[in-house]
Amino acid sequence: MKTIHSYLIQLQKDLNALSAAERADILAEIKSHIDDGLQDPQMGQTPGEREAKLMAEMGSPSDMGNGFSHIHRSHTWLDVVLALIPAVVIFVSKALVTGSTMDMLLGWLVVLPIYLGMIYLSLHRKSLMLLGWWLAWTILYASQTLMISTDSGESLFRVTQNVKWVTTAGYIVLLLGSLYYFGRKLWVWQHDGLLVAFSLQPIIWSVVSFAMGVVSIKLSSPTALGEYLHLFTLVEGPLYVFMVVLVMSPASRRIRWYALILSALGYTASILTIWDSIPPVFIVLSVLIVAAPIIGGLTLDYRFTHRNPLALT
Amino acid sequence: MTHIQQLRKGSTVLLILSILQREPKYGYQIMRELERRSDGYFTMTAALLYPTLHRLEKDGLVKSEWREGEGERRRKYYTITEAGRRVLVERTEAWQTFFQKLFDTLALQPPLAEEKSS
Repeated sequence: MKTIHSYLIQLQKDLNALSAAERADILAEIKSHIDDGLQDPQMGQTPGEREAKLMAEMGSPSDMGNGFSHIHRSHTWLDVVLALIPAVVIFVSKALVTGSTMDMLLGWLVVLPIYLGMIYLSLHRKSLMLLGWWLAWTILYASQTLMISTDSGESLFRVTQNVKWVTTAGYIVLLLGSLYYFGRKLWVWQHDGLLVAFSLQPIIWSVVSFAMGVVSIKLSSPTALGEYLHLFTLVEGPLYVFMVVLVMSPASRRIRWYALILSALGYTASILTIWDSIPPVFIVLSVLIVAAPIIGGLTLDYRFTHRNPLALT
Repeated sequence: MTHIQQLRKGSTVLLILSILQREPKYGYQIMRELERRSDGYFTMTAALLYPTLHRLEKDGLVKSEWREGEGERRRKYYTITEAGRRVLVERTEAWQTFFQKLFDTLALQPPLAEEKSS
């Protein structure tokens, strides 16, 4: 006969696809049900009888785990499609655009309605994660458009160096704000660590890439920047596709974490290619910023996965 | 799965909503109340009840809240919503119509024995 402890341990494993907060809530509810049954005199005269009857009424932990997983992750495929569109747009636009001013402007005109539509959809679905994705891309592309230079090398929108620095500062504020907000979600409200880390990746990658560009230009190493951007263009789209499909799929939590970590490692590898041209401190800082939410999310997930379900209140 | 089991499974939502229509209840109470009302005919495993409750909550038919009474443990109570009450009425009517039509239709058929002998 299955004991209460082994039942809860098995259920905890079968809830693997859910967030830490969802798992904790479900396990607390089932634990409360078990405590009610064990204290109910109608379930039997002795504790042993009560436990036996209760366990017979519980049903299989795998059935229960599958039932919960199906409900709490049933929306996933639509979200995957919504998050996948930027990946495809980025990949295709970077693969097709030749780099001329007119191409970039036309690209922006094509992408803008898609971005606005996706922001509206994200708000409509009340998905903060998707909203973060789309806002990050909109801000990045808008600022890139502002920075466009004409073919003769002049700033198309007459953007001065001061505006570039203000934009950089704005990016850093946005990054710190996002880290603070999502950090609170992670530690204080115990939001899903995997999805928090995932939501932060686009903004982090964008800010780090932008800052990398500014630093490279400042250090007069445009060749290194060119190499970096070329490499980043090649890896960015496929990395996003890989990350979105796996992280947002109903696959096991472990596989989704591997996908996120691999994507971040891929991005980190592209940073390391310009190790010689950028101050090492800056590169180390960038790698730490990329890794911070992943380490935070993993720590929280590990804590919840290895928590004793009988200790729940 | 037998046809009776299929019918029972199909009535799960209706049974849960009907038990919640008078007052908020927690999962264990719902199981016992279901057993009491049906003299043990309708039973539900926890593996079916709790995911169904979460599905109903996601669909906006019930809402849940952790409560802790005086000297009591924390329990998650479920309350039926207005949308849930509407669904309860609609489904009750649908089941009534289904069984009414089923019995009417059965009464019109010749007995199976006569059919076989002819």
